[in-house]
Amino acid sequence: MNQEVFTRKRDYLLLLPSLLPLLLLFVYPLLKGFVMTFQEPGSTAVTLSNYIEFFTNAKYYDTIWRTLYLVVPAAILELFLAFGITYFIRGKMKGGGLIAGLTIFPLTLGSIIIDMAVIAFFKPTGWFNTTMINIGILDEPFTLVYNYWGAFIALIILGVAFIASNLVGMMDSIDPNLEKAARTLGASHWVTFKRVFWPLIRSNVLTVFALNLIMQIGVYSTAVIVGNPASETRTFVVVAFEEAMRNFNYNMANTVAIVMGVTQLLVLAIVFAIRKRGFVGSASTFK
Amino acid sequence: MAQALKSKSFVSESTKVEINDLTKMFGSTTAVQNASLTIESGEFMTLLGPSGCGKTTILSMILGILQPTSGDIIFNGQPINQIDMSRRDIGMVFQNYALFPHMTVAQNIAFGLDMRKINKAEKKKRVNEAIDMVQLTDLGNRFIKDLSGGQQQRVALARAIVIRPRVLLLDEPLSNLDAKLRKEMRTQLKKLHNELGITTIYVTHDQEEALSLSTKVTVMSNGVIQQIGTPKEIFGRPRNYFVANFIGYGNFLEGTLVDVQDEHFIFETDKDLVRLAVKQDEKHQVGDEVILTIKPEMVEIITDAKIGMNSLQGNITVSDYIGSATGYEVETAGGRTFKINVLGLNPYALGEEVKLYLDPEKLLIIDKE
Amino acid sequence: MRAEKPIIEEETETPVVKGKHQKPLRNSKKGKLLQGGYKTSSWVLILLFLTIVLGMTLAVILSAFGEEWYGTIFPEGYTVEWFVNAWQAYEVGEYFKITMEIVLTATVISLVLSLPTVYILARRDFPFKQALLGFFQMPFTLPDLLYAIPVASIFYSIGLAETMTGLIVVNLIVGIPFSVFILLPYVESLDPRLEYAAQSLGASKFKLFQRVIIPQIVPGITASAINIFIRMFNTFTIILLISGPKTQTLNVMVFSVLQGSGSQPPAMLNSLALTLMIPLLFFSFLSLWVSSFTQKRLGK
Ligand SMILES: Nc1ncnc2c1ncn2[C@@H]1O[C@H](COP(=O)(O)OP(=O)(O)OP(=O)(O)O)[C@@H](O)[C@H]1O
Ligand SMILES: [Mg+2]
Repeated sequence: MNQEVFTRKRDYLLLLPSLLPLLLLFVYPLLKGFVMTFQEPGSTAVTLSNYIEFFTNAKYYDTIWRTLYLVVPAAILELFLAFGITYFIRGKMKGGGLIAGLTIFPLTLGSIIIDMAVIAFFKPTGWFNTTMINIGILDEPFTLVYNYWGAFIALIILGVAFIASNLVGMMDSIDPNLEKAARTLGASHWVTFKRVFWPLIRSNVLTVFALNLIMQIGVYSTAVIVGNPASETRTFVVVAFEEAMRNFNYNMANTVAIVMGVTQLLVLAIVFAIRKRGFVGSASTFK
Repeated sequence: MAQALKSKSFVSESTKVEINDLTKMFGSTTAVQNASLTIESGEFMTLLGPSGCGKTTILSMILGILQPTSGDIIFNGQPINQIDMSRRDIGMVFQNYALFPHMTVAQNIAFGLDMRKINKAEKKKRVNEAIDMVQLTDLGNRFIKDLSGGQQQRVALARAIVIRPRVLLLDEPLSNLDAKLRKEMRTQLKKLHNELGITTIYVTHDQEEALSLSTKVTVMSNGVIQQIGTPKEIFGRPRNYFVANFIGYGNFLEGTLVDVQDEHFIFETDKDLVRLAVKQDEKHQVGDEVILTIKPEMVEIITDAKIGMNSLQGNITVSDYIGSATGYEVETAGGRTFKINVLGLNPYALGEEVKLYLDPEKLLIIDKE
Repeated sequence: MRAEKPIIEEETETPVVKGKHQKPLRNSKKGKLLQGGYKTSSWVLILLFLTIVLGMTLAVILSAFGEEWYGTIFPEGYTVEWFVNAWQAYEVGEYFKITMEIVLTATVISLVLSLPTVYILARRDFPFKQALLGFFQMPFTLPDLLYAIPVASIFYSIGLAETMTGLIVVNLIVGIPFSVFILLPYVESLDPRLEYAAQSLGASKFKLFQRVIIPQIVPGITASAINIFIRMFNTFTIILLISGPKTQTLNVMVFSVLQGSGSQPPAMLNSLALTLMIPLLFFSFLSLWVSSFTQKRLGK
């Protein structure tokens, strides 16, 4: 029916204004970047030396382990916290909106400000340590910034916000009558959760978990500002930026980026393999 | 059906439900106000009322989803307000069925039995019986999304009765079905109730359903119970204007009973002094201010010329053909409008002058509020 | 679990009139205990988490406006001196201006370049439409590092790096596809009959765009523009890679300062963080407002 308005092939030229810039600025660099990983700086000969260097030099291959060691435990904890909070406030709980809003709030501030906030709050003279010392839990300040823990906390704050922001809507889309039905049939709260609520939301939760994990594998400013980018929080992106901005070795930088991308893909594949083994579908009944 | 009846495995022990002075407030709005009801064991009680009048709220309180603001719910003499909803032994069919989408039909039905830790053999037997009873015999392994609306409704019913509930609650279970299926399911429901004898509370705003299914009907409006009675009582003797209007009485005349003549009251309208005879009843006497009402299908259009008692002259102003009958509005000389239903296709023309006859035996006196 | 359901305090001892063979109903004690435990621990967890979130934010603000704050609960006095100092020392105003220039220009260009595409996507069905939509999704689903590094290397070799043009151009990589997706629902909700009408009256295609389509989607464009703007304001990775000392956006500048922050007093750094927080908060409220407004328009 729309053909009445535009019948000529020429009209597809209207796609060009958006496609051309993307081809130039996105597709070409992407391909070039991939080719670059098989070249040495300043040469066009094809070589595997970047990858060999990456996987034989501890300076590089350590980043895989260091990134995952920081990000995977954080992501799992984030999932538990965010799920716990959003599950508790789901439905029409009074004050639920406020709690959800405050939980998601860090997302609007972004990583740089959260990093500063973690420093201000958890530094040795910050509120956290002074309170702990005052109530007698700690004897002396615990170093929670400029190391693994600083980055870990900042990741947690942002990750919980991200996961919660997604879970709130997903939980609302599960018909509350399903839980009520289970309860009236004699199920306890726990059994209702285990046999009705969780199977229905499981696939969505795993998807959000995977997205969040992938995002956090690319952690950079947090690792630099509140972490210790020289050792404990030397993540993929830290090394990639070091290669690009300090050594101007874009070939190596992109090799790091590619390894990171592959790691993300693997994570995604694992989570989705788990996800497939259960109910995947909609949990909202018609109203 | 017959086998199911013989096996007796669904016949639950009977429960009498009493509701005492039940009130539910949401903030400052009152959803249910001082409702009192008794449902004898084995009875089929219908809650009838317009949308938003508090029917679901009453069910929710019986079910335990909502806590009453005040008042008691009593099962066989035991107040159950403090009993957790998972312990009340109530079978519920939700308005949207609330079937578990990740389970098969059989798993859905078995859910309540799993919670009661029934052993495997017994569970299987009871699930199969329930599936047979609602005529879904070969569909036990289907998932819910692969069922039609009517089939889903039957799964919901089977899931609710397989646990042998003390009370069965149904919240507009037929409202999502088409007219034909609705009728069919209605007869099935009725049969089922006759076989099982479970105390049943049924919510609907469809008066036809209420009439055909129930042994007792409760009419509600704005959270207040208006009348409780058998279907016959409700439809034959509505107690007030709201009930009469809701169940289809269409024409209302305000006035006073001024006289008695051979076992008939003489009624006179307040403004234009129209006089009508109406059958005498015990509740009213001369001098009462009352409302007279008559159903549109009870008003007759007569042809003989003389104008006597209870007949009025008027012109047809609206005509609306609705299949088996035609609805008219007739305006009388005094400016009153009467609603009339006449069988058949459009026998009278717009603007035609007709005579109406209001049979004294069919006119009904109801109290002014 | 819901607020309306009061916690049941104790096993109720009520006189029980037994029905025929019926056991009286009873609550499960274990269930109640578990439920109580679950609720308490959830509340503890939520309050702890929110205390940290709010405490962190407050700590930044107090530190930015505190005179001297070392080991005490609250600063000894309050001053705007740090804030003013930070603003001047780091030329926040200047970088703010640069950022606005870059982002505004890039927003306008993204909208202009994506509109024709959006129109075709909304009105026509063609074989590779799904594939095309998938392609437009790639720039914001792939990790930005994957294209940012080669773009930086290319820009440095052709001299576009560290220039305003370069910074504007790299914003289009996300800006164009983002505006495609954000505009699409608006154009899809337009009534195509208006266009037939216009064309049957002899409007040329350009006129059609200008006189019929554009006026109808102005509200949608405005809302989209605000969202695209916010999205670009937060662009980080690629800007960091190609920015020069005088050509960088506010967040990249703040990051660079914080990265090598050894010698600066914390109050100064927190003031700087605050200068970034204010526009971000402003924009997120703006976007909330816009999305509630547009949802009404699209009837969702
Ligand atoms: N959770 C709630 N909060 C506030 N008001 C409510 C709530 N639930 C119901 N109400 C109000 O209480 C009144 C009764 O609602 P209820 O759901 O019982 O109506 P109903 O008779 O079942 O109507 P319907 O036939 O449409 O299902 C309505 O006015 C409704 O708006
Ligand atoms: Mg209802």
